[in-house]
Amino acid sequence: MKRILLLISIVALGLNVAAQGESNAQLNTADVLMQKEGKLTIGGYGQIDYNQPLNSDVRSNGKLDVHRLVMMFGYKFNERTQFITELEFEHVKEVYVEQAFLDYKFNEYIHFRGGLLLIPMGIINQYHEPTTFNGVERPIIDGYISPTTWREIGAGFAGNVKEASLKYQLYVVNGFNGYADNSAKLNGKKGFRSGRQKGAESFMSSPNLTARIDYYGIKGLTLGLSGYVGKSQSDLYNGIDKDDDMAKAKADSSSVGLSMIGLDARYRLGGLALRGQYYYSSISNADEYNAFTGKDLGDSMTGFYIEAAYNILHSIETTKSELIPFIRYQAFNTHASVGKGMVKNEAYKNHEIAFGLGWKMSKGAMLKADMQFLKAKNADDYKKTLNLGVAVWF
Amino acid sequence: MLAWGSGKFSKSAEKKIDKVIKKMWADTKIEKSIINLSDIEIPDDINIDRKKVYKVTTNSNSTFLCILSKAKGRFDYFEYVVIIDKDLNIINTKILVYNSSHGYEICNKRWLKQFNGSVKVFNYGKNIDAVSGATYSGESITTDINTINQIAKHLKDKALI
Repeated sequence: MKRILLLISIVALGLNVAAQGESNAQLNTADVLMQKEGKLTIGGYGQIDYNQPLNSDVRSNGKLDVHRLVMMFGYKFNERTQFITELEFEHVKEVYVEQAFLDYKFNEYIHFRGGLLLIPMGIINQYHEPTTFNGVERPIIDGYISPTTWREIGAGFAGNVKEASLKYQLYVVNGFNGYADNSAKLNGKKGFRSGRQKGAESFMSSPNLTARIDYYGIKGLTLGLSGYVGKSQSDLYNGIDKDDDMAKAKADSSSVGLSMIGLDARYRLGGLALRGQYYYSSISNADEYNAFTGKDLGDSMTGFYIEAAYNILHSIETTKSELIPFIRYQAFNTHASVGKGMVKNEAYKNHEIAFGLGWKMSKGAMLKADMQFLKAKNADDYKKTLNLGVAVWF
Repeated sequence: MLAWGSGKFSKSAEKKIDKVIKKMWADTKIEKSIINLSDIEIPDDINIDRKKVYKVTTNSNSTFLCILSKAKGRFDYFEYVVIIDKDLNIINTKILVYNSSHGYEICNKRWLKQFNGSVKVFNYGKNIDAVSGATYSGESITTDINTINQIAKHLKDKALI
């Protein structure tokens, strides 16, 4: 609670500085310095959601949730050195740090980064502010296949080669917690989601590697290619004698290898916005992991979505607000392939159609409404959910 | 130390301006002189912060304005140049230094070409296409170029070009 109060007071102080700047009120030297140089950037985003399952036979309670409320701070120490962080309240009562990294610019082509980093996988993990995507909830594949918001502690390099219209990121990061305290975290249904360590007293038995390239050379189009390789972490490696083959073999059974690629495209032309995302994850050693832990992790997972949206107020010059109907189709399977002797769970193979409407009254403020129709392969009917949401970003 | 966010521009940006000019007028001899905005009476509603204006004269005696500017994306400033002819048409816009890893999509040459042509008020998301992933930078440069157009118009009114 103390932490929360402290955080709120920091935020209030920050907002105060910003507000004073606008009103030209009397400022002390520190205030003047901060806003004149613009060293401190304060922002935030939030989404407040209402999810109502709809079923003609069964009554279902709706869920009302302050899903995410995030305060962002950027501080520029000098021309080359910057610190960026996002502090998140999730479901009101959970506090997380979503990113916290130091960025040092050697030159435009090479920045060093270290700290709690977003894994550069896919669109949503990097652009998760709720006014930047359509629909109240993030696409399901950005929960089960790429477990957004996916972040771990690490370090590496990023840069922009604008002559070639390319941006790159390359980081060594900590991997998923696959096994700790006699408990296995990875499973067939949600893949690696429960294994995220989020930089919270995380432990590492072997580092992972992730990279991404963005190409933005064609007007309106951004193409991204992401990659991730590494082994999941296991606390059974800790303290074992390096000559103890038995213990090492046991630890090996508690860890899997993950190789993942993500391909994405975003295209905008006038009021039209199209985007697509594809993920493929290959998992090695899943057989042994499942035998050791009793879990049902598959050998590979896939997922994709395609989405079209159009701002119907685009041609009206006098308004800056946007009214955006959208439709999205997505399909995913966390049991795309499974080990020998294992049967694919058809409940893990799903497709979904979602459509809805967003009203952006301003760049950073949006009301959303949509319907989701989700069907597992072994289900007779579509699961229907009505979602309504408030989304802000400033 | 160069003051971040101040009206000073990086050496790298200044150097790159000369490159841009050389590329545009490869065969001509160019004269470049500073127009000091603080020496000119400019209405208060035109914000001249973080702007530096050069007048460029080619050996065929054509004159151009070359306006260097700093605008801010989500967390960081970027430096860019706009080149404007005597009739106030923008003929080239180029990002010189882009620091942040967010919003870099505005460096795209084809996107920047949207600003070329006769003076009009630019409106991000309307007559200037919105860019995925560059909401802040895209809006910021659009607003900033509108200011640059106002400055250019004022300089023409004062017969400085």
